[in-house]
Amino acid sequence: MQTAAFICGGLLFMVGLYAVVFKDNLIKKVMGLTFISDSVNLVLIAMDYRPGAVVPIILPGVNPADFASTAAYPLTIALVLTNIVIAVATVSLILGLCIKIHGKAGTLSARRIWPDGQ
Amino acid sequence: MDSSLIPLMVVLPMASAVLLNMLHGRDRAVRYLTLAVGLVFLALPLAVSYGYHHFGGYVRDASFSRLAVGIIYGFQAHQRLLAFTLVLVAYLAAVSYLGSAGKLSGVYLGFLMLGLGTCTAVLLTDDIFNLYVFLEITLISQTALVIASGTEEAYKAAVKYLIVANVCGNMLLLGIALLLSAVGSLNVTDIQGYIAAAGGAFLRSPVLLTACALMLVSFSYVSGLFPFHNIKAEMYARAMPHAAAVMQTQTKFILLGLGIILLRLFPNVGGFRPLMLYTSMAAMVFGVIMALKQDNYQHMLSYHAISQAGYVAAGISIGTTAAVMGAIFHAVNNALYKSALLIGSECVKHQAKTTDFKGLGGLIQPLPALAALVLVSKLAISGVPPFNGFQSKLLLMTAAFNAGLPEVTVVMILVSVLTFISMMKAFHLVFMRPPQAEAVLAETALPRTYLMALAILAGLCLLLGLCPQIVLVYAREIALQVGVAQ
Repeated sequence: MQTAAFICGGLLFMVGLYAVVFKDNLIKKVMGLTFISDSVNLVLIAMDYRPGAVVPIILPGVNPADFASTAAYPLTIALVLTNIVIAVATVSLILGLCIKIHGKAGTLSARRIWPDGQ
Repeated sequence: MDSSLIPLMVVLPMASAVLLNMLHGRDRAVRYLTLAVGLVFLALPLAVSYGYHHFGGYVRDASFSRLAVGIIYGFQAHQRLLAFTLVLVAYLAAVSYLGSAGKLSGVYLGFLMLGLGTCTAVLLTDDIFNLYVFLEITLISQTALVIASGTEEAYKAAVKYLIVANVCGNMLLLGIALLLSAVGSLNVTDIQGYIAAAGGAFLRSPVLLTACALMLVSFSYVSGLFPFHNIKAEMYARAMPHAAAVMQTQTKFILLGLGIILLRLFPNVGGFRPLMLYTSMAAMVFGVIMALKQDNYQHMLSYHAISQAGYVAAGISIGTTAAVMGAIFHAVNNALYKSALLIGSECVKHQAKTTDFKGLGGLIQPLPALAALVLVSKLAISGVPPFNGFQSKLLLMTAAFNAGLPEVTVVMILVSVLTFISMMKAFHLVFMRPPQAEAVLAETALPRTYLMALAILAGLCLLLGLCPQIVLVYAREIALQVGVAQ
C-alpha cells in the first residue's frame, strides 16, 4: 500500500513537472503545479501510513498506552494541511495574475508572453 | 527585555501588515502608523535578549535529551545584526515611498511589513517546516511588491517567478519530508545531532542524499543563484527600485539563513559544498556579465544583486569560520550599498522619467549630492577601499585562499574588477556625459526622503569600511559554531 502510494506520488510529480515545463497554456501549467503539490502531499501522508491505525484524536475513555500503539502519526497530517493552504494561496495568486495578463496581453500562451524563452 | 519577546520580531510586523491593509485609503493614518511601527521594529532587535523561545514542548537541556516537539526560535548575535539591518533597509524604503508617492497604498506597505516579519521568522526559526512556511509567504509578499508597480512586464515576471517558486517549494517540502522520515524530527538542532552521530553509512544513504539535493535546488532558487538567476533578476528589475532594495536584502538574508542551516545539516555529505560553490561562482560570473550587457540602469543593478549573492553563497559553501564570517559581513554590506544604489536609481527615474541609459546623462549638474552618494555606493560594491565592500571581499578572498581554493579567489577578484568597470560605465552614462537630446528632467525637486535614506546608507558603507569590527563581532559566534575544518 505504502509503496504504491510512493510510486503514484512519483508519477504525479513527473506528470506535473511535464505540464509545467512543456505545456504552452498558463492554465495547464497551473494544473501541473497542483499535481506536483498533491504528489508531495500524497508522499507525506503515505510516509506515516500504519495498517489499521486509528485517527489520532484522544477520545474520552481511551487508554493512552493503547492509543499510542494504534494511532496514526499526526505530524505529517498537520504538514499536509499547511501545505494545502499555501498551495491554495499561491495558485490563487497565479490565476489572478493570469487574468491580468490575459486582459493586457490578450493571450495565455507562454511562448507569446515570454518570447525570449527565458 | 528578555528572550520571551523574541516572537514579537515576527508577530508585530505581521500584525502591522494587517492593520495597514485595513487602513488603506486613509493616507494620514497609513503614514503615521508606518513611521511609528518602523521605529519600534528598529528598536526590537536591539532590545530583545539572546536566547531561545519555545512554542509549547519543553525547554531543551542536558538532562532531557528527547527530540524537540515544539517550534523553537533562537536569537543569537548574528540574528540581531541581520534582523536590525533588514528592518533598517525596509524602513528607509518605506520612508522613501512615503516621501515620493502622491497617493499612499496601505496594501503595498502592508506587504512590505509582511515580508519583514516572515523574513525575520526565516532567520530565527530552528524548525525546518516552519522555515518552509515562512519562506513561501516571503515569496508571495515579494511577488506582491513586484505586482504593485502595475506594468504588464511586472505581471509576466511575477507569474514566472511564482510558477518556479511553487515547484521549488514543493521540492523543499519533499526534502523536509525525507529528513523527517529518516530522523523523526523537524528541529534543525535535533536533525544536525542525529546526522552527526549516525555518520558513515547514513551520510551516503539515498534518502539523505536525495533530501540534500532537493534542498540544494530550492536553496539556489530562493537565493537567485544559477540557474535561476534570470528569474530573480527580472523580479528586481520590474519592481519599484525601493521595493527591489527590500527584496534583494531579504533574498541575501534568506540565503544566509537557509545556507547556514544546510551547512549545519550536511557539512560532510559528499559533493554538497563543492556543488554549492560551483553554483555560487556561476551566479557571480553570469550576474556580472549580464549586468555589463544591460542598457537599463535598474536592470544592470538587478544583475549585480545576483552577482553579489554569489559572493555570499560562496562564503557559506567554503564553510570555514573566516568564510562564514565573510559571508555574513558581505550580506550586510550588500544590503547597505545595493539598497543605496537602487534608491539612487529611483531618484534618477524620478528626475529623468526613465532608467534607460539612452535617455540619461548630465545629472551631476542638477543633482551633485545624489551623484556623490551614488558614487560612494558604487565604490563600495566594487570593493574599493576604504568602503565596506572592500573589507568583506578581502575577508572572503583570503578565506578562499586559506581554504586551499585559490581559483575561487581569482574568480572573486575578476568579478570585482568587472563590477568596477560596470559601475563606472553606469556612473558615466547617468551622471557625467552631456545630457542626451531626448532627455527631459522633472521640474519638481527630488524628495528629501530619498537623499536622507541615501546619506544614511552611504554613511554606513564608509563607517563599516573603516570599522569592520562593528559587524564582525556579531558574526563570530555563529561562524565558530558552523565553520568546518578543511
